[in-house]
Amino acid sequence: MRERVLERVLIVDDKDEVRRIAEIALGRVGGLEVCACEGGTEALEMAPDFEPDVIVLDVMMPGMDGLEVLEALAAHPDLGDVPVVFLTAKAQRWEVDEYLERGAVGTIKKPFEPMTLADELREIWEAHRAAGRVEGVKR
Amino acid sequence: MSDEFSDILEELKAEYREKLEERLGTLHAWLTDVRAGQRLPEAEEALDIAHHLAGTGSSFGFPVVTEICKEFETFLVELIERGGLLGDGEIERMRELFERLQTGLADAG
Repeated sequence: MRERVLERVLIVDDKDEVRRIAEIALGRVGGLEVCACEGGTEALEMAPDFEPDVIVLDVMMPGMDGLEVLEALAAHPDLGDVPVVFLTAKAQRWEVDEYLERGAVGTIKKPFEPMTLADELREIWEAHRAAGRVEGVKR
Repeated sequence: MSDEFSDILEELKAEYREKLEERLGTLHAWLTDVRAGQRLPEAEEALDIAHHLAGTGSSFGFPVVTEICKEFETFLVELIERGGLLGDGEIERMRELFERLQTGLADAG
């Protein structure tokens, strides 16, 4: 079994330029292994083989939106325990509270800073591991 | 930041700027076509563009894009909630936001 440190991140965003800069930010800058998907259907196909330590989800996406993807992940036999962090511009207090209530472990607000995105994600990951749940927005 | 990361980010920033010009051209075409008493026919598409730009501008080195597109997004959400009917005030507001965006981008280089 792999040591429980943050190594693999699956990011889901329908916008190509967001996926590209997030891959740079998390992979090249942050030293994480990154798999990028353009939608929930692809993410649900890729995730079981990739075995992500965390899944980073956009909220507003065509087809399945982020909350629907979150629901599908939670119901998946192999993915239900994988923590989900939302990466979204829709991060008003009530929206963040809803994400947490629906099962996400944190929210990082867009626009993100590429040089610190991985650190923010690690912070949420560590807090989740320590406490099981993280409140609030990281920005 | 290493030269390698810096180069990659500069490349992404240049690509973003190029797409940004296309998106702003689309918005501009919509804004110049509208008249008071009409509904903005592409309001949802304009909102999608404004939302995307608000959520990405700063990440690509254009904080002015994020700042002004947040205002644009809020304006469009409220416009759509009111049924989308444009008055002179709404048209003036859209054009003012667009001009600020263009000026801010020109200043950003």
